[in-house]
Amino acid sequence: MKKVALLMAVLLALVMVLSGCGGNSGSSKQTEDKTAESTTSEGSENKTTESVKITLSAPEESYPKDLLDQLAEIYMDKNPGVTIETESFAGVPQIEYYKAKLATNDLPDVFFMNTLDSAFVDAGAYMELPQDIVDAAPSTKYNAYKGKYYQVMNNQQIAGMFYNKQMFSERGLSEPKTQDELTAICDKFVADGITPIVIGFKDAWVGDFFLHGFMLTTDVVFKNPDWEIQRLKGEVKYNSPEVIKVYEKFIDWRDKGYFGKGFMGLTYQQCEEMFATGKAAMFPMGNWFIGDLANLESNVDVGWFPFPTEDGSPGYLKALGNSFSVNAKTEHPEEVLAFYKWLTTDPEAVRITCERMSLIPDIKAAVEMNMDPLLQEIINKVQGMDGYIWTYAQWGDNAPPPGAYDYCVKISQDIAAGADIVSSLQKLDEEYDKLQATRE
Amino acid sequence: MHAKNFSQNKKLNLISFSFYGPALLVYILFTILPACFSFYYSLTDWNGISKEYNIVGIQNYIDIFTGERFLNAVKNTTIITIANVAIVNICAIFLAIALDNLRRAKSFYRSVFFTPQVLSPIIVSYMWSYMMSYSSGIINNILDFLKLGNLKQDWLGDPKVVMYSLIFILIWQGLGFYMVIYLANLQTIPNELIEACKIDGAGRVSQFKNLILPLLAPGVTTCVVLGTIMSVNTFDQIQALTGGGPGFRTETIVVSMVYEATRASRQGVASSQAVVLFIATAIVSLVMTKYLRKREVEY
Repeated sequence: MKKVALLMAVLLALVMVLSGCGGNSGSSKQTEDKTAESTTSEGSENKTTESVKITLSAPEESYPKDLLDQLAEIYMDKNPGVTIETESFAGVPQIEYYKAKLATNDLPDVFFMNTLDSAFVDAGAYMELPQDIVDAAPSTKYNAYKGKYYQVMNNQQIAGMFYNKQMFSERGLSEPKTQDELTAICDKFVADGITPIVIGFKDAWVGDFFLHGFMLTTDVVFKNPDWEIQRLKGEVKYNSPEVIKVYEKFIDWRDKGYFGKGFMGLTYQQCEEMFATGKAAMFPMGNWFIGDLANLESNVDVGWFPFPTEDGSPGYLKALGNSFSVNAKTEHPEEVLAFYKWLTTDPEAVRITCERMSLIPDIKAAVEMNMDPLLQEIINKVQGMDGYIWTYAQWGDNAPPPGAYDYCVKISQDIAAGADIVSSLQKLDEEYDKLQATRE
Repeated sequence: MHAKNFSQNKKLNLISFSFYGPALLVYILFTILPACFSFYYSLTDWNGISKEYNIVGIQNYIDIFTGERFLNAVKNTTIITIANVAIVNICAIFLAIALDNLRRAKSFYRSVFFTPQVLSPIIVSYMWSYMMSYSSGIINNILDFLKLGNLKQDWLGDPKVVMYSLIFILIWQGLGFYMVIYLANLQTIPNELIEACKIDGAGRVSQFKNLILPLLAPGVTTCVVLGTIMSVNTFDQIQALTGGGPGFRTETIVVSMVYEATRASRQGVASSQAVVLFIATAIVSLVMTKYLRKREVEY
């Protein structure tokens, strides 16, 4: 009898511990459900007993929470039976964030990733998009992966040099047409103790964007637009005279002080602030910076010119902007796809997004938006020029293997910090090939 | 008689199991099992999310030991661990003795030095990241104010100084923790021994060298072993402060492991690095414990 009592005591202790572990999650789920119900009943006059809850997630830097909320509210007003819960995150790379979500079977119904990760495709995480959605945003055809579509491409992006017009006019400088003219301008600013071009490597993508996205694309990809696709196939290498020349030029510019002092420790935000407060003359960035500029409340009169080529031949840097993906395991595929279609291809949703983020809409339907004057200036300036997709912005089958971009950024940072160019590029080639082999 | 003892022992075991059993179960579920899974996955080419993978044997181990990146990470981990453990322990011993000898405000200073320990490593890292910023950080601004602008550094971006900055921050945050252990250890040294030492004419240096330091050996064992394990596994601060950069200059094994698992989608490689780290940490900890225990004196 005593043994039975003891055994019961042991079991009771175990049950109490285990129920303690699981108690919270259970109650939180209950609360979640209740919240969802009450939100639905408050947000809609037509009270429905069965509300469809859709989770919408994006990194704050790509889609600010207030924009997600605004879009969700508009959709919920139009569709009373649907509740959209928005989720925003910052400080975590999106791949890491969604990988953890996927591993714990907690992937949101609609989520934003700025790359189509083939590992996610292989894991069956993305839902294949129906043809009507693909047709509504024609640039999506560039994002085909093994003949299927998983992410809509609904905007275009242009990168170039934002510059301080007042600083230029005070020195009698005009927009450069060649890289020699650009370096002459930089020399003048260096002589005046002003940082000519602000870049940073604390957020390493910023510096890498200038080194690869601007310099490598202009000097190499402009001459061979298939260079990245050839690199994917192993037909060209980073460790080649044409690429080494680009890196040597970058180091030469660094040594001449064109990026100022302490650029290795600058974040994206600090770069923006330096430019917006007149501490730097030029900021190489994409058109999304215009949206940030509005929040910085800057008094700087900002102009823009395309990053010049060596010989002055016209051309500009562009990329196709992607949108959200759908979780293949969503509980309500029909409703989620309807929301997804609205979110990514409806003129109203795309207009709101593009106006807020200073993006250039790229869907089949006409989008009437209040274009920022600076964005309009950029579009006008590139009219008639050939656009070239900057490095690591290829999509679908042509996208670099997962992890290659991150490694490339590391290599850029290492070289900017003084590492040997040739051996670093050799390492980059080896890692790139290894990652590509993993994907195959 | 024997049967009664046996029954009593069994009963005692069952009662004690009811106390430690749940904790053991949780430990097995969330620590031991994942560690075993890690070892299994280290023999595969799993990408971390896919349902399919292949067994590749020890290929991942061959790859990491023949690759420059992992060996660089091992080097950085070793430098950070040795520097951090050595400096933080020396500083903590002297700080603990200084605080122990204080007549006033002892608890106040103890709290002051311990405060960084209770802060989240991420908060501490961001705080130092702002302070060490080249353009807007308070450290460089103070140097400018003191007309010492030539001493300004890109504390977290310059490859020549970044490792020192990182180690300094780790020491700054960890110092209070070790200090408290040494303070507790100092309380165990009987006053009679110190008085006897003084009567024998020993000066402060002699007291420290011949009495206090040998009697602090249990604290040293605890702090050195704990410090080594914690330093080897440091991730938050390095990720938030430098991300392992610039380039690979401060990339440790754990940072490299996270890159492999999350960015490069090579869970197998990441797991093999985790296994190597586990084995290395276990061996180093065991050897150190055995060696340091031998040096402990009893009175």
